[in-house]
Amino acid sequence: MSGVNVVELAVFTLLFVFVAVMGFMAARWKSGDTMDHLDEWGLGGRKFGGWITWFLVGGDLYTAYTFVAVPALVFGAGAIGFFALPYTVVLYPIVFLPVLRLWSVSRSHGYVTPADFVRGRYDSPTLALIIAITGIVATMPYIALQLVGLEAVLRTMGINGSGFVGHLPLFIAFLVLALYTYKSGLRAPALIAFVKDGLIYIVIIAAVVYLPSQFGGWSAIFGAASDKFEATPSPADGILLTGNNQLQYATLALGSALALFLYPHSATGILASRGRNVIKKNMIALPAYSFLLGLLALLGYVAIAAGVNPITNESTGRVDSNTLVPELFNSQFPDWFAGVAYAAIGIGALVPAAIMSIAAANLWTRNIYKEYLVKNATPKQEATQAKWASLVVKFGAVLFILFIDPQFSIDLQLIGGVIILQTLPAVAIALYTRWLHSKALIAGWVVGMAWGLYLLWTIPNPAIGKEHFGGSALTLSQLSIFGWHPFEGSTVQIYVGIVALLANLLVAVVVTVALRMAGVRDGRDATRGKDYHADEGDPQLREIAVH
Amino acid sequence: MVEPGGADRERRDPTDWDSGNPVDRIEGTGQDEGNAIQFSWWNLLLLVPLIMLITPLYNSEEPEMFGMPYFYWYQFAFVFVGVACVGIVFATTKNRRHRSVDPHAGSGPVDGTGTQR
Repeated sequence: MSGVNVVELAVFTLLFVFVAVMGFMAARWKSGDTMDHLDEWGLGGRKFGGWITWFLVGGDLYTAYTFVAVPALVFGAGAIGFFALPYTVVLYPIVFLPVLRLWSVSRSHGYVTPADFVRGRYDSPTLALIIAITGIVATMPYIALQLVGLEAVLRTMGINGSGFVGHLPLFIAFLVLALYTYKSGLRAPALIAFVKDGLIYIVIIAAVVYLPSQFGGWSAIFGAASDKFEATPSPADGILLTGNNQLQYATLALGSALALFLYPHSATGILASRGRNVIKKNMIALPAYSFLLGLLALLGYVAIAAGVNPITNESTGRVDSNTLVPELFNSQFPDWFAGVAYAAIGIGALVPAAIMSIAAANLWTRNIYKEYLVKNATPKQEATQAKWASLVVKFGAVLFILFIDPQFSIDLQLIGGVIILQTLPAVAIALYTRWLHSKALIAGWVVGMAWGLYLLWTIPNPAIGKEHFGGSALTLSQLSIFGWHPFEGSTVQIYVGIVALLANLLVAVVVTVALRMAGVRDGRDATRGKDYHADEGDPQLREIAVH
Repeated sequence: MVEPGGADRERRDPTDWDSGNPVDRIEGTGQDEGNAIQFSWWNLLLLVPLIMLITPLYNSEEPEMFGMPYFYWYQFAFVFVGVACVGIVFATTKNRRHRSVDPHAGSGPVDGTGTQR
């Protein structure tokens, strides 16, 4: 535990304590009549306006892990890491119309989770269950990754112990987070997001304005990066895409964009807003974060020009590439400013971790506990169950980090993106049409999941000596359909998630046609056409937090 | 704008096949059918930002701007293209929704799934 930077740690701790107090106070912020209802605890009363939603969803989607991992990827591999920018640019035009429909139908029927919607739309508890489980499984490693981001900051400040002691500060931070989330629900991350994003904008803008001038401008920085990549033996890296990874770049951006709003925590942020106009305005304003993320990605090149290297994780003995950006700030800025930057990243880990644990808790409560365990649970029982579930989820994530190699969380996150994409037909397509049969959707999900996982398993990563789960880029020549290789000899790479989704959709369509021909009936649709356009202020809109 | 008529509201949704379930054919605007999809030609503008996924268009170093290769500043520029497209669709489809939904036609959400609590 030697070499702790006192100034950085003091600034970090001060800001951390400040947001913790805010988190506890948030319970009373814009509070409704009761906290014993999921509308209040899990969705903040469904009344967040434009600004709160902007900070909340921004804080939710652009996580600490994104902020440390994207520049690290650009540092290591070059242009392919920049996919985060097209991903978050094409995201909003794609989801603009579907999320409005999701909000309206959820507001009309009091749905709290995407699986609730599937339950109402298809009248199929089984389909809703697999959507809920997929959501929980995809979210858990995402929460663990927020801890990875937080740890990267702590290590850079010198808290880089080995074994259990090395994880202790992380444990304390998460305990505080767990307690105020338990008490305040979604209002806690919503309020803290203001501080987090305020700090992030200040830090990144300062870094992007100041740092390039230190290294001779962008031209020199890109020159240094180019030299570095040319010196490496790998043909895949470089400041431009290669012939082989262009398709991977485009499909990874598209697949990630399609997947993002299928994650339960994104839906939580959207459902918490007051009305359709709030969401529409946010879809226009949220790309401000995308611009920021693009600038942040370029810090990976700045780190190359600055000669910064990531530090070694003392508890695993390996280089932790996620410490790159914190190290860059450490070497280029005065201690107090680095402390602010670390606090921004650290708090940036807490906001999404809180929202994700709330989203997972909502799924557990609504689609497993209430559906299968206590069928006539009262709203109060639901809220209590969800609060406890959020604690369990967070401690599960901490145990993950404590006892399992962080690399495993990263692998799981990679898998998470592929599997959450398999819920697209049942959630996103169902917003527009109920033509796909619920049983066909289950069949498509099974095939998409199985094939997606299998393909991920077959991808090696020789660079880090892994035989399986080495990445999400599938070389087309490896693509085999029952032994048939349609792209024999091709070295072009594609994102596994898209391949699995296509298989999923194909199966869903074929099975639907077969079931219709066989005259197999589907469940009853609880939603009506007008539900998909309901808005705040409509007469007869259901009351919030009443049943 | 014609208010939705009572009889039409109970017509079967053509996309609903054999579920035996009535779905509104006419939404608040009085124009929508089936799943109440409100289509506007302006919505097609949302496809424009997808041009960003065609990588050969911009995978080059020249022309540079502020020392940044084309690959990078082109994609930064597309942030604004995306915002503009979504913004135009927002502005042009803003008032399409008929605010005065007939309070008598159709009730609120119908339960029957147990997911309503």
